[in-house]
Amino acid sequence: MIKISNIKVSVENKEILRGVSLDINPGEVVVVMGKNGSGKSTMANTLMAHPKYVLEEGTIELDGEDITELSPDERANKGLFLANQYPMAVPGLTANSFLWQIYKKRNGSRISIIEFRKWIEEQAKLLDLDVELLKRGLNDGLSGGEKKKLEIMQMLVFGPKYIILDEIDSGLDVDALKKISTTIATVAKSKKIGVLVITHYNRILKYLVPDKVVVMEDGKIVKEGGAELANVIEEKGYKK
Amino acid sequence: MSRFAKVKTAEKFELSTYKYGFSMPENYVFKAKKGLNEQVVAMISKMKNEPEWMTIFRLKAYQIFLGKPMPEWGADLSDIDFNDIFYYLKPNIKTEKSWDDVPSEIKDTYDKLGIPEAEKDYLGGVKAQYESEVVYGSLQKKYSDMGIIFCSMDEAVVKYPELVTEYFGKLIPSGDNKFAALNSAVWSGGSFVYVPKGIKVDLPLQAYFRINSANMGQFERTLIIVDEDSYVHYVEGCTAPIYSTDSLHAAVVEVFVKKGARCRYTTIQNWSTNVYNLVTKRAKVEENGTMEWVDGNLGSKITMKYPAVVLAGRKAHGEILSVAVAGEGQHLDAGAKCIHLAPDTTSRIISKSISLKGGRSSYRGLVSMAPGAKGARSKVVCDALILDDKSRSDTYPTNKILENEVTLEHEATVSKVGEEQLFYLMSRGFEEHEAEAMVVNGFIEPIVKELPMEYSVELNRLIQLQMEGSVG
Amino acid sequence: MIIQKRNYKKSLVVEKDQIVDLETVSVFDKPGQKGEVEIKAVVMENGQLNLRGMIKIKKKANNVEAFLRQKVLLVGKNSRATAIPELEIESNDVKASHAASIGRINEEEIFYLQSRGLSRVEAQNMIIKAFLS
Repeated sequence: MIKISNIKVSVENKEILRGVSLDINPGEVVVVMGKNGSGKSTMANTLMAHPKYVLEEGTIELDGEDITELSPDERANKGLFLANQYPMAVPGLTANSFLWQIYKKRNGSRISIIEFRKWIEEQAKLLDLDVELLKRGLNDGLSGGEKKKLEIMQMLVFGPKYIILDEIDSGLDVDALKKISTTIATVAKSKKIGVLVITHYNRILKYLVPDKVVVMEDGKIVKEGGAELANVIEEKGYKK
Repeated sequence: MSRFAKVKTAEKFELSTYKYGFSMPENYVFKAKKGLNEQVVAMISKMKNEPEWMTIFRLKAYQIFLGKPMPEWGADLSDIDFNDIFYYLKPNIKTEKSWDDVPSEIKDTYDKLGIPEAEKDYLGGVKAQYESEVVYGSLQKKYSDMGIIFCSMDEAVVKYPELVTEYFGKLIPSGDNKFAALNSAVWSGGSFVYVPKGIKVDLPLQAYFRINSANMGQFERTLIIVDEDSYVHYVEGCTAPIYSTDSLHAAVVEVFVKKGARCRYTTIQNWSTNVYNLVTKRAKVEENGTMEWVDGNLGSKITMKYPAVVLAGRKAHGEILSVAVAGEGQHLDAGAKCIHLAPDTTSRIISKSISLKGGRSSYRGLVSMAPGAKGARSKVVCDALILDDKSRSDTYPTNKILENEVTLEHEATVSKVGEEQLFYLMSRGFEEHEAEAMVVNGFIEPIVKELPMEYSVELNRLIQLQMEGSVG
Repeated sequence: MIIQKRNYKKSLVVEKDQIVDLETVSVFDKPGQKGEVEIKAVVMENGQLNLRGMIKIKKKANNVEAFLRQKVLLVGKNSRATAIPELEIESNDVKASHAASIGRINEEEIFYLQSRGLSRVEAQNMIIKAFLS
């Protein structure tokens, strides 16, 4: 379980999260909704120890271990995976090469690179991602949708215990959204992965059925509920 | 006396009279010693059994060297003491050095790179001879069957005088700059390559196979002639750090690319950080010809090197791809020169430089287009990465356009490895230094992918080694 | 003439037979400074333009953003230009870039405007005006 206990987070000396607590259990889908500026992305990035976000108070535990002081790579090694909202480009580092390096880091060299490449091609087809794009620099010149698909490819290679999706649905067309969401849902279910979904809209929730929905406002969780809460928000907006 | 012969520490010489009026006393015993004067220059020529024209060439060049001032731009060359250098007949290496004398960081690098023992001895300057003769021998047969000449410059002066006199010193005359003058006076070693018309050489010519003495190219002189419609790729240098006791390296490389021909010249240098590496390299390209300089600069204390392409014929094309990594105590002042003299000529310069641990990397370039070079096009991209706040990067490009029907584009950016990039890569489980290395390798990838495979793998690892300890 | 500014924008025309020298020096020595220098020039017949632009970022000048752009259009016969954009960067926490381009008017653009009824001279002037704005 990921246990977030009363975290207060600031960015450039401005307080964004004012005491947030949340649990994500293995196999559970927890959805965080809220207006722009409510602190949703801050929470996602704080979980991954982004250097810009300063944790002033509170703790984060993963499977019983306090990870509050751990660096991004140390948290990744514990099985935490963040699908970024704005994936960074790294020119000259091909996506193919990066995916292989992630695989080796997580699994050693259990399969040959040729078998790996074949597997990548299959996954790319399922996600409707052009294999040729993988020969380019990581996220270099890719559209928003293509970048999100590449995040999911990385997730598949990585094999996480917990996934954080930071607005994975933004900028995706209907087909892409369906492909990505169903892929995540299938993998999460079969491997009992805990999923934290950060989103504005409930389109994605058609495929990733939530167990818990929370609403954030001004850096705090103001509402909690089950799947129906998402529908209420969709209809009535964020007003109380 | 060929440079493959054993070196003696003392030699007797006969009396000789040279056109410049001085003469050697009888029974003069030549001892290996430092410093340069006319007698030394004359001696070098005599010991190589050179024809008179070369002896005169050297002596004239020496006078020019004396007359030329040190350059007032570029890196700081004030510590060079021309009298503290052996210009020829160095003491026998065997009596001077053992494996123990090789600096430990050099030994460590060899271990980390997995270089086998035999090569370690050679590269460490411990062994005077390398068993390249066997490999070299079989390659030689292959080349001569194709009509290709590939030998040392010293041999070529004696064996192929017509070819050599036609081209030697014609592109880079002794008066070009002080160090070209020095090289012209005291040069020794280097390659001579002649590729006859219509021959495409598929295997790269490796300078490595031709070197077999511990004189690691201090004043090398290379001359390459690629005749019409031919192709050759010449490779020299080594990514592994070369420990050199010689602190001054002043090489000259002249390349002539004839109509429709193509030449690629790849250099990787990683001289130890006591070396001043001052190189004059220039290619002249005729109609429809192509010249590509691929340059990797890793070592040396100071490097000043500006591979140049003179685009003399219509539609001639020149490319200079260079990567430079300046670490602690290093100043790499490198760049490119493209001179468009004819219509429809094109050039491309891509320079990637990295400075870290207080190093300084400078790009110095020139693109000029003469009147009449209608339709000429040039694109220059120089990017620099500064890895920490102790290091420095400069860009000094000059674009001189004297013809109006042309296009020139020049871009340069200077940046650091972004925090967001690092975070992104680390979030996939890579430690900070691994993530930084990935970004850096990606940064130089456009150049590295043009290198022969063994070089690119070693280069990436070397840079990673240099960076380790720079994060923290 | 040397302009010492971090922010500077100038459009100029080098008239027939004129010689113009323009040098800009932008020094960034304190954290957080931002600047952009843009020179756009059109060089007419026999004109000569010498442009020099330096961006210097000193040590400890963190979080600096500096840009230099030199764009030259060689319009007239025998027009010429030299552009030397230089960078000396001693701080690594910066975003610095420069670009220089020298070229002539795109014939396609002239053709396009002519096909809309403008004379060659009118088309040229329109393009020059748009370039300098």
